[in-house]
Amino acid sequence: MPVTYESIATTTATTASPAITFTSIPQTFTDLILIVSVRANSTPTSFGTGIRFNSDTGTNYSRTVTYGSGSSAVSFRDTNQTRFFVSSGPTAASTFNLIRLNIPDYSNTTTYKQVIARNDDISDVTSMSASLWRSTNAITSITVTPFDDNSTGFAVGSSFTLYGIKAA
Amino acid sequence: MAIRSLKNGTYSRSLLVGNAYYLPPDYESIATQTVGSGGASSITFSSIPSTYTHLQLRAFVRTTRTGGPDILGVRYNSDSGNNYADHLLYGDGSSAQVDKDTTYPQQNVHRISSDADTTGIFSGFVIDILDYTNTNKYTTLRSLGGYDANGSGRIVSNSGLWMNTNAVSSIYLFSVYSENFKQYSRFSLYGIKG
Repeated sequence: MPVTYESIATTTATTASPAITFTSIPQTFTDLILIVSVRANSTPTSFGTGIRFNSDTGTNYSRTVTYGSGSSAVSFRDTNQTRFFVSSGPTAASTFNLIRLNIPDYSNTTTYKQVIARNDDISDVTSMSASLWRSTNAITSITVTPFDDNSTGFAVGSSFTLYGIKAA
Repeated sequence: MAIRSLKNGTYSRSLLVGNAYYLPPDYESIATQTVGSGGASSITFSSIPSTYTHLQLRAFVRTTRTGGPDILGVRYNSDSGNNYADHLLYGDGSSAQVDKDTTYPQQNVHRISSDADTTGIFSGFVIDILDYTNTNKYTTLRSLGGYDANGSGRIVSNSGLWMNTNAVSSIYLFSVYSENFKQYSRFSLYGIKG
């Protein structure tokens, strides 16, 4: 039986990292899964984990989000963004966001790309999101970028693992 | 030492002593169905092997509905009786809401993009069907799915119940609004070993 769920690449930040990019993503899988464990390198008042595909910095991204904060459930959306965010930030010491992104049909050149994600941050929120990249290009690179008001990047120990899933 | 396939010429490891050991994969592709240019009113996975512990269905879907978004209907073993129920938590961009269905003729898995949305927008789903061969409990499903359409869309966490203790041997998927799945819609079924 062939292996259907394979690790493509993984990296762990050994210094504070401004961004992580997976390049030359093989086009031989059906879906991609990206698992990210991150926190900010400092203690900013706001922090997020942003995603871009193929270095596209145009306003081609949007998202619909639902989250629970421990006191209420909330939904919001962003449109026409230059990247989409999949997490807010952990505030408690030593806690990291755990983010799982499902990227179906990433290599097709007919449809826009949709990302279904879960983010768990025990110190802040748990959330789920659908995010859209309005491009029919196949995804060949993924850049994970931090957004924080101190611009200090991802903390040491933040990890990023990309998997591919093959269909029969 | 490698061995070479006489059929396609590819090389792989042999299991001879001295070679690295081989661990069979625990996540296997069972079948995939991709909708062609004519569309499809339904998708069926039949003769599902009973050798796994869980099933996972990964889908990328759009339907022909023009009156609004669509809903994915799920039935097992051709059972169209009122033996299904579901709960959902969802967000539509302005508020988070909950809903449920009881004694339904299918599990409703929300929410599918449709021809009411901009061309090219498909919805994504990861659906887990847990302990599907167990004949001592009802079958449960969980799903995370939906879509964003740059100004509309929903993200939905679904649970579903089939009130039947039979092992799942087939899965029938359809549009609750009796529409067709669009070309390029894709359904992939995987088995996960315990």
